[in-house]
Amino acid sequence: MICQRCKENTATVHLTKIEQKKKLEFHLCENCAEAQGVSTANEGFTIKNFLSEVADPEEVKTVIPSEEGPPPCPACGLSFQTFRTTGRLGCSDDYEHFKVHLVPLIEKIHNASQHVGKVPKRLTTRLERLKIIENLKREQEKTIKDENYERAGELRDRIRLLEEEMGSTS
Amino acid sequence: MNSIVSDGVGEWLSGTGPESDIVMSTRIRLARNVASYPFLSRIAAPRRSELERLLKGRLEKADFAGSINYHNLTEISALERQCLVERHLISREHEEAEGDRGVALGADESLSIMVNEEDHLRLQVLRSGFQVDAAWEQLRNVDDRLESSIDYAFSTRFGYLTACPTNVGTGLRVSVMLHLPALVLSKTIKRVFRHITDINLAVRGFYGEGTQPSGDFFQISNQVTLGKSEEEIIRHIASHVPQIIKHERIKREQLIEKNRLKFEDRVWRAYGMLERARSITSEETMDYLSAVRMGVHLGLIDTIPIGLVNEFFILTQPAHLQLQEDRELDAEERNQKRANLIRERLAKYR
Repeated sequence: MICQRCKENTATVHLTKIEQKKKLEFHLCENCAEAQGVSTANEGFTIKNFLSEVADPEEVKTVIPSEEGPPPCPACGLSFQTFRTTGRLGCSDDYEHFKVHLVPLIEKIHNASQHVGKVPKRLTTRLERLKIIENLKREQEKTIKDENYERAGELRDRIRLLEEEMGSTS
Repeated sequence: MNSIVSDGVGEWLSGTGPESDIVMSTRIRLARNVASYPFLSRIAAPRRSELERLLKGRLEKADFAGSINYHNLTEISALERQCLVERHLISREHEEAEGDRGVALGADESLSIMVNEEDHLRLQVLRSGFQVDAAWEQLRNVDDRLESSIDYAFSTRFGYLTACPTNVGTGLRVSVMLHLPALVLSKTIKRVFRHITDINLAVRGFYGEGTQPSGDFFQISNQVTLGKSEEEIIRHIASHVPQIIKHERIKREQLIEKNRLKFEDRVWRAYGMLERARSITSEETMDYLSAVRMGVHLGLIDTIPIGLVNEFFILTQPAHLQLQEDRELDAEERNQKRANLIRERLAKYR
């Protein structure tokens, strides 16, 4: 199936919307899905925001990969279909490889997709820490915009802690 | 018994922790994976064995407070493994699985580390009573020490990467085990559960996920592991437990006020059964122990220590009874053995 937006690539992200008892379907390729907000670079993205642009989030029934699904993970060989049946991933690379399909699921489970907790002291380079801080700051801006000041305060404390830790190790 | 399953039971059953009249135990666990190895569902047997040896070495070398003993589960009997399940030290799945896997146990059984379970590492701290902060402090230390010698699978976006996305992020699960007989008796427990699920916490039975509530024990745990820091997750659950404790205490008082004789009769009948029975099922035992446990905490029974009652919940489980005899027992043999064990121990306090 061809992407409805660019009409070039194969559509791998499929949305179904039920409107006035009529079923509407949207088929996008990964690039267009990203362009709509499912971006790996756009950490502020939430699937709800994305869906509100193409459909009413309350009415979206499913966010499913196409029947062929994404190609299996080159590292462990797991197919997304197998993951759907077992609920278990095959290796840590799967999170990156199946990112487009996993993020909606993760958002549904945790209502978030950005880690804000403990960070391994040993393996994080300065650059990785900076990236986490940057992600948290973006998250913080969003919560301020939503007037969720309690959450913004918690994120501020978290950022401060990470910055202090960086100061002491650099 | 033998060296793997010690004669004494863990500290968490001592009944000494805060609020231990209602909170039996606090358990916190972290799920961790090693960066360069596939998760367990996609790992080949030789790599799995290699990983088990690697982690065994790291665990034995790690500088934890207190010593640990490591056991490869393929090298111990099924009965011993089942005892570890009954003691809440390994999961049922870990017991039943195949292939190289293990567990490292701290001296007082407050620390247990499963190797090659659903994730490469499951670090657990189990403490008596309501002790989330102390348990987290201990567990965080263990994790810090391990991560200085192990490359954990971690992403700046998703945090600690786990085999199941329900654990990703912090990999943290806090479970507070509550004893709520009065809420069950007064049939208000369902309302409490509705409230718990409304605030995004889960309720489970005595042996965790997918198990039936038994002996009026319920485990309350967090669902969300990503998007909140460990401290926030712990604070969320810790802030709701006192309300449940309060409800249970009020209900206990109300039951006594309403009909003291009926309440006391219930407790003493249960005690009588445990003290005299010649054959008793596991289910009956859990019910009677629940009533007696409440009776001891309310001061109705003052001759036996609470630690003894708590221990009975574990020592009367099937694998524990069979390990004492060092053979498999059929259901009736277990019922008799169970009744004897309780009767003999209670006789010392008469």
